[in-house]
Amino acid sequence: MTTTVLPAADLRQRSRVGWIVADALAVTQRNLIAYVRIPQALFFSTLQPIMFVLLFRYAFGGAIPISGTAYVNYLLPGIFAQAVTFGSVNTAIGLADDASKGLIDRFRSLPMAPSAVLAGRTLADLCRNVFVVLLMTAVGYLVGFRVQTNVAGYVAGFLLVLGFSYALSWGAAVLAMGAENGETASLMLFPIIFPFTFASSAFVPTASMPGWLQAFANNQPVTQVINAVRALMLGGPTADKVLHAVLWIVGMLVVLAPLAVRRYRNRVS
Amino acid sequence: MQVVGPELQEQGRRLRELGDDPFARRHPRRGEAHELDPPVVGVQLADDEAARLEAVDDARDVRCVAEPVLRQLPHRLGLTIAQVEQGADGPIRDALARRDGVEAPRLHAQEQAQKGPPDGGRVCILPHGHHPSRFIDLNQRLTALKYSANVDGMSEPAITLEGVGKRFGNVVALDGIDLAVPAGTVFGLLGPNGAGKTTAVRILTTLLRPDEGRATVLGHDVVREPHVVRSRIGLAGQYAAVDENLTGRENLRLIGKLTHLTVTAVRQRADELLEVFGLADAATRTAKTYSGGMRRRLDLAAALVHRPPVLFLDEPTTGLDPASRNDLWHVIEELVASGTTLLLTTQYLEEADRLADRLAVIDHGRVIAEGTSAELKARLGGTVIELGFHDAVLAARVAPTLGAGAHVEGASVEVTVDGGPRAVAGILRQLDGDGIEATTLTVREPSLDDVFLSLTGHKATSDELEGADA
Repeated sequence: MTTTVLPAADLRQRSRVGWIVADALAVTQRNLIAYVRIPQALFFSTLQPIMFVLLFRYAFGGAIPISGTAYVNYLLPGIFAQAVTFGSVNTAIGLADDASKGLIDRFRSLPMAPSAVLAGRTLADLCRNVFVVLLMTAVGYLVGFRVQTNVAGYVAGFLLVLGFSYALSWGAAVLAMGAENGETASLMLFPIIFPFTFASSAFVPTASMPGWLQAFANNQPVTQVINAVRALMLGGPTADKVLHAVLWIVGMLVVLAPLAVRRYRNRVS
Repeated sequence: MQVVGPELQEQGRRLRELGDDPFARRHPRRGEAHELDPPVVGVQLADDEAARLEAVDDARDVRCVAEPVLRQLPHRLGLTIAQVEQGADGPIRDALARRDGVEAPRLHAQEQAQKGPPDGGRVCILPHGHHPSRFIDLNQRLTALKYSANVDGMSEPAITLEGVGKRFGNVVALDGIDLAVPAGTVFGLLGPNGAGKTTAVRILTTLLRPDEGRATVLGHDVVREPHVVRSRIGLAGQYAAVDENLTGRENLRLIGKLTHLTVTAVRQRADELLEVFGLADAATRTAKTYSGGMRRRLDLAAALVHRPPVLFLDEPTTGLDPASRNDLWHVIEELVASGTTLLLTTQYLEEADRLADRLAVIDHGRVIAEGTSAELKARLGGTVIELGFHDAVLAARVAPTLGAGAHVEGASVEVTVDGGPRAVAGILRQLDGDGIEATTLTVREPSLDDVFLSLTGHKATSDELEGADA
């Protein structure tokens, strides 16, 4: 068995940026394989947003007055945001589980780009969210949702939701890097996710909330993204809303991604 | 620095004087390398020694220099180093790369160049097993052959810890540890849970920054050059860090990609390792379906994908059944025979005894003893006598009469004595005189367990059962 020296010819040469991309894609592929290989996990994680669609469409929706459009049309953009927000828990669980199983230690001891493990996870979850949002659109159509603008409006809203989901994944990564295992990670994340998802315009107009809560609800990113998506898919003025949503997404990415990578590099256990 | 240079020079000179040395072969033909196995090894000399080394100019001298040394050296040799004429290492390295697909690293050549090489020559390192006749074959002028031997302090250490300390809050995990592991040797870090073994490994593998002190791997500081260190090391940990949802092959290929091998090398290396580790039949199964022993083997294989010259194994066999443990030991032994430097942590004294050339016992973040297993055992004196009695009460009553080295283990008493058989007779006479009858008598060499007990005041194996059950 020869183990001591690696022939230089076996080492691949790439630029630094090239390696950042290549390493991230290698990890992405690894995570996607898991999604394909355990379809049950994907199935059950889509079940929950479907339940939300049905519950709000048929159980609560009748009691929520919306002006200008049917409640189901109002609901679906909210569901898209809710699905990806809750979905960010998967990012945290995946990373924290990798850490608790020692995989993160192994990756950190390899000469790979330090951003790759997190980028690979968030990119895989982005793929997952593409699937989830498309599925929710299909479910929405079955229960009466109709895009009221045009295809371009839907596509723009779809991209906005995905961009937001990607930024959220990095937030989940920041948290996961401090969690002991997947279970703790999800326990840590839900108390943050709940107020942002429910104290937003996802299911009810914020105007129905008390003043102090409105101040929060109107200005937090989930609402801002949902409002932009609604404008794009249902009509109305879009420019300001989309700008706000994009600023939130970019701002979150700029702050959260480097922070997550920093926490990954400086992990203690 | 201990140097075997003078004897070598002497030996070489005498053989040259003889003139018709039977080993002399000015221009060995291709294919003769095998005849000359085991590989010829040179000895690395201190700089001043090397400067005095006579220039020798052909294969005969290479052999003369190396032959006597070979017998003195431990069985595991890391590297063969040839000192060749100025600039000549380039063609040799190229030729070897073409011929064997293995590139000789330039590492020491650079270091040597900075220090000012002896005789204006350059030093080139060849992987262990590369017979020097291979360069002679290439018609290169060889001026001397050196070897970095793993004799005390002779070679450049592959791993060093200098005054390394690490705290977690108020807990002192490492309290100023100094260690040096010579290249090509196996070093065992022995200690109970929480002694600081894992912390030391985590610092050396760049996973943790030391609070104080300095740690290097192959001369590279782990804090300042983590990326270089990572490209030279392999780590296999306590938990088999494999992705359960990937197959064995996919796991190894992933590591291959992340260690930046070419596409061809990734595939070759994965299949090669699956074969070597007896996982070829399970290559397409997900790791989830693997047994504990198979996972450990896959984990170890993953640490070897990029052929790291330095390997860290953190409790590699904890939790394995005896058969799997034995299998893994075999694999590790083969590995180190090929020249890999290995730092191993373990709670199993048997494991340290079997695998490690040298050991350090750590407890509460400090090195409390260091040496070969034989040296550590020798500290205890010669012989352990184990006497069994009818019951624990009797054992407890007898123990104090047998001297300070005696301690009670249930219904038996263990005494460590210097005098061998004579001491045994003495103890038996004493018991006889006191009218006490022992039911069993065992005389044995001290085990590392005994060493541990005498050093730390507690048994190393107290956690072992838990570990094995986990």
